[in-house]
Amino acid sequence: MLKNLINRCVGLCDKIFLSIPLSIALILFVCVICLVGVSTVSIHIFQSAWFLFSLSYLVFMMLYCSARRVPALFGLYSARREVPRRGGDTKTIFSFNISGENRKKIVDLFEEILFGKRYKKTIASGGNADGGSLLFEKSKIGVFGAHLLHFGIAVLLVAGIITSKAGIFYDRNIKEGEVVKLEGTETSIKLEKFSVIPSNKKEIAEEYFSRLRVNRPSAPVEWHTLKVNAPLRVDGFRLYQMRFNYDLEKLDIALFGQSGIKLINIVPTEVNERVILKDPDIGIEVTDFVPNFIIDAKGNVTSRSYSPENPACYARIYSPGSSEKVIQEGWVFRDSGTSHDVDNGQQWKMRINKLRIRNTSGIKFTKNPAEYITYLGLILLVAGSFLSCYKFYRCVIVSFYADGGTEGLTVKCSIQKTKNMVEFEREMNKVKEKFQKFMLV
Amino acid sequence: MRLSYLIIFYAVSLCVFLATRRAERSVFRWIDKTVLFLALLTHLGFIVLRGVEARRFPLTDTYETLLVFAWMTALMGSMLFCRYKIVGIRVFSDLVTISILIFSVFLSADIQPLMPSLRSSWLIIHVVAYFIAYASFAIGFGVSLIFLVLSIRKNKGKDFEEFLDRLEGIIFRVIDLGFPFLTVGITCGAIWASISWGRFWSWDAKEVWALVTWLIYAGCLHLRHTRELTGRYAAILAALGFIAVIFTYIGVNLLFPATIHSYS
Repeated sequence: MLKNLINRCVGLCDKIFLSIPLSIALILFVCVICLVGVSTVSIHIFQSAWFLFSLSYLVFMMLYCSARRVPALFGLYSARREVPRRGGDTKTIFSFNISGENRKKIVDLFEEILFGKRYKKTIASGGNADGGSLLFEKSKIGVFGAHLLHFGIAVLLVAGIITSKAGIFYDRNIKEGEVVKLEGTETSIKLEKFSVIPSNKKEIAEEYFSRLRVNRPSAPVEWHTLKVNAPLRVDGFRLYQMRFNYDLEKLDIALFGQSGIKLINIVPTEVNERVILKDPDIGIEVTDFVPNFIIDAKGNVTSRSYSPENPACYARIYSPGSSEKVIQEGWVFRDSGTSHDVDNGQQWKMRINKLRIRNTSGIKFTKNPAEYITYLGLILLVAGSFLSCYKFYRCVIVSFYADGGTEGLTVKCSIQKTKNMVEFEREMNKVKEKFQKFMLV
Repeated sequence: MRLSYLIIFYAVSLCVFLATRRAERSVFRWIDKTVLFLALLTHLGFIVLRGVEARRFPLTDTYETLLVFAWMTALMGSMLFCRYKIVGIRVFSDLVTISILIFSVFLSADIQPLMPSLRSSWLIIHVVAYFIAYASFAIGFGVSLIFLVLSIRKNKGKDFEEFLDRLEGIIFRVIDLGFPFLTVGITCGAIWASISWGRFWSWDAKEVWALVTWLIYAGCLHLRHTRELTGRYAAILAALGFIAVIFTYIGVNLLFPATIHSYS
């Protein structure tokens, strides 16, 4: 009764968790989400409950599949195992007839050749003169490879869920002298100094690092240097030197008359802030700034480097100053202005008069409670993939039986089908050659 | 200019191979092996020279990775040819190598300074593992194509069927070779991202497509081992996997320029 109930439950679970159409549908669903989600607009799709549910269900199906095979796998190591029957999952390599008294000699020969190939004799059944079988096996551990891989994926999924639910990730652009408090702690971090070492071409930074002061209440002050690829651990948080940005501290624009000679005014501005002048009644607004102006191959304005070698800002002139009517706009440089008029002739000429920019350090703060679980998952994944693809379980069956049509015994050497039959058959053909050579001797 | 010499070297090697493959005298086979060995050695020297000029491991931009990809494909193709004696493997690997090198000629070979985040020993393991896998999958793709072309033939004798079975086995053997390295590549990439960017996985376009590639090959091996995936379906799935590889490698950078892997 109970056995029936268990069997029915297992059957039902098999239908739910081993359903091929369902798994194909889920895999296709996950693939579609992956393809849709790579666009920056829909990146949040990866955090959606549906996506997480699909992944979890797939992983559970995989684990269930692995779990169902566990008894058979451990059966491989069982002392009361029997030799697999001929036919079915086996392939015959060679067979020949011997007289009954030569049986021991043949067995010794098989043992000698197969032991040389690192096989072990695991079962010997029916050792009488009429028949019997021998089982030689190697790389038994290989059968666990796929299951280790499955387990690794499950561990990674768990780690991913913990990270997305309990992990803390935030980014800050910090100026020199600025203090940032670590979330949920009393510890504060002060950026004492930020340095950039330029490369020879000065286009990209060779290295950049932040000198940080860590303050904890009633604890001595600590000093640390934070570099790229060398995260710092502070009170359970990990700090990463991610990037650096330039912070425009001062930008003065010199406004000239149409001739470009008569200085009208020097206007201190900031990005995205409109400065309104009374005489003349105009408003100047800087909307963009690049420290080293260049137009790339696609025609877009970009910065060649972080150093202010050819600074430029995009300025708009409104008239009247508080209106939305743009009369002139364009890029303004330190050496010459190129802003163009919107309506009639160019009224004003502009030039960058004074400029002071300061780098800010982009630091990422993370607290990932599943960090070590992720490492475990990754190790299992690698170990499982190598084990399943490089260690192939091999099983050779040597059987002796009396064939009605011939005298003496028939010896048959067959192999159990595995996932790497090409190599297995190559090996067995060598065994066959060796065997034939010994037989001739 | 120097790259064109290398292309000519491989072309000569392929011609010598095709001309001497039916020759029974061992001297011809020796000539073929010597020419191939010299081509591989010159190619390796080219990569080493690039590394010496750049003063770093030469695997940081598309030009350099293509050079290494071409070398690994040629090396793996010749090794697998020695093992399985299938002419198509050698011809395909040489043709792929020549095509990659021709494509590289049109790319900028300027040595750019390295971004600070790329100065990591994880880069070496991550990229080398990937290109071992990619080279294996390229050969797998070639064998799949050979299989698909040959399987169209209608009157198949027993020997021919056995040959097709052998090809099918080789497809999976080659995928078996590359798959663990693909896993190592993704794993090292995740660890490096965790050290450099503070996250193991960011669902970036490159990462998502690397995952798609991994899933296709994992599915291919899984179906082979549990459902006995055979014949044309097996070859088609293996070929599909390599298309995903090429898209991950080249296509993602073209279609998603905003990817955080845009330097690769």
